[in-house]
Amino acid sequence: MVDDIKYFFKISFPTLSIIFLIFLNLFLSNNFFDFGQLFVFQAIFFWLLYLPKFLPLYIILIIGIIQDIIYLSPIGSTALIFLLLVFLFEKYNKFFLEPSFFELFISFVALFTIGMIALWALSSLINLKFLLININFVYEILLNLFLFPINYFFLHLFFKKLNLDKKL
Amino acid sequence: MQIGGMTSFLNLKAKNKKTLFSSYSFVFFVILSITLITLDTKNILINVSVIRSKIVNAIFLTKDIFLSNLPNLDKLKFSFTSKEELILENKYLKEKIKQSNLFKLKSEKLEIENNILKKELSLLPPVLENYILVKVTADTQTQYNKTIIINAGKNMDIKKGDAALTSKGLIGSIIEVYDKYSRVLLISDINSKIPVRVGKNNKKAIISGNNTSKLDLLYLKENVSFENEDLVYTSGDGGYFATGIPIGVLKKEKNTIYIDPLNDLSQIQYINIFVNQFKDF
Repeated sequence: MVDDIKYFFKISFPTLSIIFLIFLNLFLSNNFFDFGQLFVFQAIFFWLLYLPKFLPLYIILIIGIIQDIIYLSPIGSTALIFLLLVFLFEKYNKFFLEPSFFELFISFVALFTIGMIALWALSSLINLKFLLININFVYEILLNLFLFPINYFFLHLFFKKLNLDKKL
Repeated sequence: MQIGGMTSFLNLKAKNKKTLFSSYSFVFFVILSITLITLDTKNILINVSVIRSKIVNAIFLTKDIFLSNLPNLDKLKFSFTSKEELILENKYLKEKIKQSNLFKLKSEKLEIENNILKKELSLLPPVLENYILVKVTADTQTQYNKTIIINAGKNMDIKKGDAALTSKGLIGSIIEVYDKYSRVLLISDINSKIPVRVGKNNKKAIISGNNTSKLDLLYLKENVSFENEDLVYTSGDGGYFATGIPIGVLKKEKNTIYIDPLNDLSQIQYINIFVNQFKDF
């Protein structure tokens, strides 16, 4: 029984960590910093790298839809951006055999920036007009890039502590 | 290898080089997302507000359960408060009650006097103005959507279209009502359009948000001139907002005109919901 609970906890840990980040962004960080809708991509990026089999596409779609419901975006828009980023990640993942943290950071920078631009383009398309881009756009990217190593460190810590790399 | 240490942290190895997903499933989910976006933007999705309501309620319920199970440090601190402090606090509170009762009596007296004078002047009976003070539960503002969630919903008889304001002026209107929460569309959102009057000459216009801290002034007649720092307030046209709620001041900068809202929309904590007298309009 305990082993079953442990097993389910382990396989659902990537999803739980992403849900935790959604809550963190909604109730805590938004009062001080605006990390934006794509904040949870930090965790998606990490788990796609280490445990992609525990983060299937339908989970990413559901997470995107939850984000859309919370932030009142058209349902499916964040999910579509996440899917685009997952697709680009997949392409990138085949290029590097043993990426260093610096390489990963650079690829995260590239993916996140593409995600932000894609979100702006999609929002403009939905509103049928070019939405203004202000300094907050750059500020949001920088804030996420600053937080990425911290987030990465903690996720990596859990990944090792919970032995998630061991075969289940 | 250290667990979570610097060695393993810096020397990363990608574990999985296989294809993460089949191209069929990827295409399926992309098509599904695009279909959902189309259905939602065209308002074809049936019961989407019910689904939104259920999910938002579930999220806030989870938060409440989590917070209620956290150790209450205030209570712990309170248990160490000395008896003398409690006596002093009690004395102070009694004084406060006396004072507030006095103010209440005074205000009741003034209200009665006011009503008598209005009757003497044969004015119309006063319109019932019903305000509900609510707290901002979650700030859900992003680059492209400017909304906040407040801690009152159907349980407090809040309805779609009710005005949300502070003591300074209007901040937005209710667009979604859930069981215990509601969502306010801020005046800075691109979808917010409010009929207004500008300045002492009562010039009509429409203000629109543009997802920034400044508001646009639309549908102006030709050859209309405005003064810098003119006050902008609701006109009441359309029946959604009461007349005369201040919104912002007009600013002129290098041949451009914009409205500077009276409220800092990123720092709102408490707001009043004006239960709209025209809600069944």
